[in-house]
Amino acid sequence: MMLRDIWTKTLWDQRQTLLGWAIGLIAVSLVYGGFYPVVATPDYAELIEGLPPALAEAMGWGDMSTPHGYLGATVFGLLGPVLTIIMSIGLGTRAIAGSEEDGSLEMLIAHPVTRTRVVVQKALALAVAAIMAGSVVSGAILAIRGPIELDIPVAHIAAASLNLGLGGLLFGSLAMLVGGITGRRGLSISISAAVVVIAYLANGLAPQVDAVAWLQDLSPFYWANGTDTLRDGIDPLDTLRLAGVAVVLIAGAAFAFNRRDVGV
Amino acid sequence: MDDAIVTRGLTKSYGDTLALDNLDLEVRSGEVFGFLGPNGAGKTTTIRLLLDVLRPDSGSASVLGRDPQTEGVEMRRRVGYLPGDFATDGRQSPREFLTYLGNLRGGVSTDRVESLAERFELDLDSKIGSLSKGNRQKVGLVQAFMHSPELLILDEPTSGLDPIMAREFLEMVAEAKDAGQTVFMSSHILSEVQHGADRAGIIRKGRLIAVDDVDELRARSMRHVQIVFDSDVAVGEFAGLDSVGDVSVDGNVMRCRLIGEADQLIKTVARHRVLDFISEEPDLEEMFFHYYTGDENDVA
Repeated sequence: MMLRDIWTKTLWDQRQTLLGWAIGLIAVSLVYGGFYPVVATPDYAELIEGLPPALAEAMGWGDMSTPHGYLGATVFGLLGPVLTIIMSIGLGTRAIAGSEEDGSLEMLIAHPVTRTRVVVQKALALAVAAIMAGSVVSGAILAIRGPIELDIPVAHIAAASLNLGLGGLLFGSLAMLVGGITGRRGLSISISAAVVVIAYLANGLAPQVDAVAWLQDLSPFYWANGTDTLRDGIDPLDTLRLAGVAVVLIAGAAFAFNRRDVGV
Repeated sequence: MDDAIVTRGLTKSYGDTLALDNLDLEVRSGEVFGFLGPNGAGKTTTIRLLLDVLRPDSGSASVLGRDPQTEGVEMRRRVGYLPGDFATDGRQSPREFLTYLGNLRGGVSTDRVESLAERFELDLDSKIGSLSKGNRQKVGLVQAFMHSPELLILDEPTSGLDPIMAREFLEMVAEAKDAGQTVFMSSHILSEVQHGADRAGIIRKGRLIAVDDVDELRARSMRHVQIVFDSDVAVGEFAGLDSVGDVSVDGNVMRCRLIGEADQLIKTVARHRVLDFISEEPDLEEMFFHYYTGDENDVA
């Protein structure tokens, strides 16, 4: 069954890696989430208030005493995205550049498959993995929601997790685009990682400088905003932006990969 | 019948390096064609262009009557391909890998895979990463042969195989030919092609410099011969013989080059008591140097 097509085989080959990421994400969600009762105390709120406001805002710590503010700054604002994005960039890099450099991609495209099919199916595998990453975070948060009295609707948690997964997919797709254009593993990882850092800073720091405040609106971290999503539920436009940019990047990867030599 | 492979003016360069220069090649349907050349001559480049892994700078190719660039899927369905440096994810077993590749072709019978594995004495269930280079090469060969394609394109198929398996491979090539399949295989070793192929093309520095029947090629091929006698011999006895050149004698050891028929040499040598007889094939570069010297100043 898993050996039937490219996307299932891609997931099957990564099963151990994916299991590892899932365990990491669950652990982060449980540990971070479980600390909420400790943080939601007056002492802690005082501590945050003592920080320079700019720092608190940049780190998304403005609202740590509410459940959405706390989870939005921690599980959905820092470690969750970091793990999901690293996993996705790894998968996106392996999809084209990695398998091209180790020689296995040549074997695949010498079969009766189009290069577009190869890219689309590997992107599909990436999407499944990224959504899975979001889902395990959802699952973990839902599991502790009752015991620690997190006052957040289930639908909002699901929406924030969807955005988390789509954010991973977006950066993984960027790694695929770089791989589709260059076929170089190192470039695929480093360019994607650089864009992640820029996007993160654009979301956290840009609003504090009036001249570049508009940059925040271009950051996928802003679109995926965990705090707002947990408080208000899904913002269809932002979620569509995440998914739409991923689709455009994948289309670009297929376009570029169709037009070049492989394994040179 | 139409030719299985036709290229016209096929040209490919990597940056400033011209890898393939105006290649015109025809491989007839049903024949076994050896594609000979030293390493770096352009064999792998040609093969990758045929599979649409690479795109030519100019010129065209037709494989089984299809254009690799526009009708690649349809063409590759009917082709079995062994890459020169066959590689795959080592964490899977050959059985898993071969099932997957078979599925990409719409399914291949497990019986067929198992009988091929048995012929090659290949264990289908240990991880590919733990296999020796030779055994990995067998995985590559099985995936190329398993769907009984009309055309087999094999890049250095015997590399890494021990002599017994190499013979088994040539046996499979002969069977493929009997079944009407076409085989296009590259090698940098003349003898390998001599035994398996009907015709051979010789490529050097990106240019096809000769296409010939293998028998013809053998007649023109050169060997280094060294014979050890039980007593001293004279140069004069061997120097004038047909097909023999570069004779040198050092006491009871005679060395020479043999081009073509060995008859006169053997009959002359047989007059003496012979302690040892060593016949070595020169590498292709050396052979080209003597027999196909095009322009030595070529920049390839």
